[in-house]
Amino acid sequence: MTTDRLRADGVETARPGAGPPALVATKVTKTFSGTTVLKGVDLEVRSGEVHGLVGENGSGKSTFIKVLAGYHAPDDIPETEIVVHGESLPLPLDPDRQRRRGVVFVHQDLGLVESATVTENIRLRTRRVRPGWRVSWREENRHVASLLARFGLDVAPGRPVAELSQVQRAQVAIVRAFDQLGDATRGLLVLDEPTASLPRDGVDQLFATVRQVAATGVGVLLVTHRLEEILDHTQRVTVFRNGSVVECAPTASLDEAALTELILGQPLDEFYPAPHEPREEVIAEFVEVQGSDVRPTSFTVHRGEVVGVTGLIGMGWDELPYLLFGARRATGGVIRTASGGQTRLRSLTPRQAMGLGFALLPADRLVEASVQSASVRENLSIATVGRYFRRGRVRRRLEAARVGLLLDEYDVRPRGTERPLSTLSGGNQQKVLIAKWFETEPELLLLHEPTQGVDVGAQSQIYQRIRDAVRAGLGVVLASAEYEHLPHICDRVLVFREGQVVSELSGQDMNRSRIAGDCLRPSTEPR
Amino acid sequence: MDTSSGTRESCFAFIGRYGVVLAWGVLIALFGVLLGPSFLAVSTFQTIFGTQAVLLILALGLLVALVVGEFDLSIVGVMSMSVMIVGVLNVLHGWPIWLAVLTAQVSGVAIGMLNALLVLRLGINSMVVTLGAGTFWSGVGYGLYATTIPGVDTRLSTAVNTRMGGLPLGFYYAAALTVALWYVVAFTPLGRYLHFVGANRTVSRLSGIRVDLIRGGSLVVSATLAAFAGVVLVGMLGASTPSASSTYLLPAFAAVFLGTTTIQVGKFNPWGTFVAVYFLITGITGLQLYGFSGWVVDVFYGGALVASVALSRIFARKGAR
Repeated sequence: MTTDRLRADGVETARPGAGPPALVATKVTKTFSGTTVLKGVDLEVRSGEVHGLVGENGSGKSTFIKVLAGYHAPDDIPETEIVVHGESLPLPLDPDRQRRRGVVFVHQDLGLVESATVTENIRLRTRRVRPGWRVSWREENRHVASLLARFGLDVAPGRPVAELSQVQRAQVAIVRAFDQLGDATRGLLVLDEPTASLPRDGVDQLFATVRQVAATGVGVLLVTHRLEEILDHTQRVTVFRNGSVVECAPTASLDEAALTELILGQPLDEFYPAPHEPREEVIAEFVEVQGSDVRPTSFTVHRGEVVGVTGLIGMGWDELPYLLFGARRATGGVIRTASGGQTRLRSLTPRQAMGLGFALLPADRLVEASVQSASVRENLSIATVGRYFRRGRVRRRLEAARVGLLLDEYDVRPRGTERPLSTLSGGNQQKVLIAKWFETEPELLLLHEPTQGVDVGAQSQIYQRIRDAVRAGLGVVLASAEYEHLPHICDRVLVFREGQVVSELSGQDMNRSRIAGDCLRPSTEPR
Repeated sequence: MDTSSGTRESCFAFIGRYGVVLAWGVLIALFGVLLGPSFLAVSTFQTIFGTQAVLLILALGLLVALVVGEFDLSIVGVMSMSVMIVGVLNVLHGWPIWLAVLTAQVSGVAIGMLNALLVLRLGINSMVVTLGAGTFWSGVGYGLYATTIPGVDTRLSTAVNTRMGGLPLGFYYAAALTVALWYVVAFTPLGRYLHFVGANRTVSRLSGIRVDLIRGGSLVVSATLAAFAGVVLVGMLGASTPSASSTYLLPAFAAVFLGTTTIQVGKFNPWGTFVAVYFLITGITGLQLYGFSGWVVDVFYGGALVASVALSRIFARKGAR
């Protein structure tokens, strides 16, 4: 099928494996503070080949890519070697020189300047400067036009990137990477989750461009969670698990089930969930919630219940908590609370959501959840400072005493209430922020990756807190991609794909491999 | 090792906290030695403390905008409008002085609301909006009447210039305002919200703070206080002059930013602004008595603005360690 497509594209095809391999990585090892996350990884990408790289979150994929980019230095082991087109690169790699050595990257965020034109984006770093630092944009436009024509992209070089569709942007990013290679017959293009933010119907167009790039003799390493992309568009695939390569095989020899089993390390059982028994008392009913990633979705949260929502990044579950809190504008949907009140999500503000008894702990601690320069006390009591305002002033001693008590209770270390939040570790910061929201006495906690960037000890404390809250009668919506944790904390898990709940797991069926399997399973249902 | 670095740190913190106050003392001592009795005379201190009410009120208004992370460059335009409204209505149209003053204040509120509307509804950067608005309203002020209007009701002068304990009432208005702002910023939940909105709007919004209301309110307050500064200026001069306001913008910024390097280091704070205003005028008065004139004002205020921002950046870096 793959070769058929290549022929159908009508591109002159460099035979895979003709020249030296685009990349040979040997015994790449990486240890972070005692934990080895890459255990002597070997990987070969042939020139002219699209090579898939798959594995669960935490399998070492992204660490390997970061080593390739020169962002992490590999452990200093004599056998470690990275060879690009027959040339051994000095280790550690210098991130600024990787491009010149023929290794280019397209990351998920693409790195395009929206307000600049296609030409400016493609030629930003590689434009030819004439005497007097003059850049001939006419010449640059001509160059880019021929480049775009070569890959069959119908995009005007002078258009601002902001006007392009998501797919076109991704294509422009790939063409730019190709252009940066300069001498295109020898190079390695690394695509790191390039389709995560694309609509599904655009993916085929994108891969047409990728195949054309590969046809010129460039080796392409494709990192993705989406197995159908691997099966449809790669020649070979390497599977990482727990920091090691467990398999490297021709894609044609694998099917979806075999690949899933390789990724998870155990077979995926195919049982469908038994209907789950909801508890009596409802905290909130969400009807037809809709956002930019979430397609109309309805569900109910009961008292004392933890509802997990999960999926692959960008599938809607990670937007859900923000929509329910009014942190991001929903395009539709209604909240019905136990008191009989009905609130439209479209016009919900965080303040109103708090009035409904909701609390949101965002995943992005630095940007959305805390003021790093403010003190622990100020961060912890920002939502409840009003209650210390007595007889004309905020009673700071009262406030500090209460905060100190909470720091003890939540085991935050070090204990000072007045130190800037930034001086605490991630886990301790997170405990402070959880305490902040418990102080508002919420009915429903909305959590997004509450244990992200948190050490193992703090993780278990945070989960303990969630369990305590539930025992006290709260409801929790836990949005997380930590499949292995979810079954232990949640009463039910809703798995999202393409913005919709595709399965609801509970009881026996709610286990790690089931969740991961449902996240990964190619979408065969009619759209 | 631990203790010595601890001592050094606390020493550093102390100097950071009271640096401007110390520098103020040093400056007074220096001029005292250099100029002798002509500087240390009571009249000098009366000049220093008696003439800066307008600047302090203006700077405190600016402080309210800067705390929440908004720039207000329109304060001088608003002040100019207020100055001219008082003169035109009271002298040329014969309105009673209280009504003229009230109208001037209302103009401040209205311009502030217009600024807020443009910044919040259309999402335009406040620096751009207020830069345009400031120039616009200064121009309108000139348009109302192009030269000085003398003979404003003397009751306004009386209300501003009457001396109490050697200092004009204007000083006490400004000082009272400092205390009032200090109370709001340091002792009320609102003060906490102001700082959080200034530090991170998203976090504030997600914590249930009405961010837009606070940002808009701050722009209204800064314009209202600018209008009040204009009223006090008319009282001090006994006349309305369209050109009187233009020199106040930079000193106000210099005072507010210099204020962040003292009392509550790294934060916009009213007492810091208070100290900064009088520190700056002490330097200028001394230099003028020493025989420098004219250019020294610009050099001193301009230098102070850059130096204070540089200093607060350095303190912020030390603090982050």
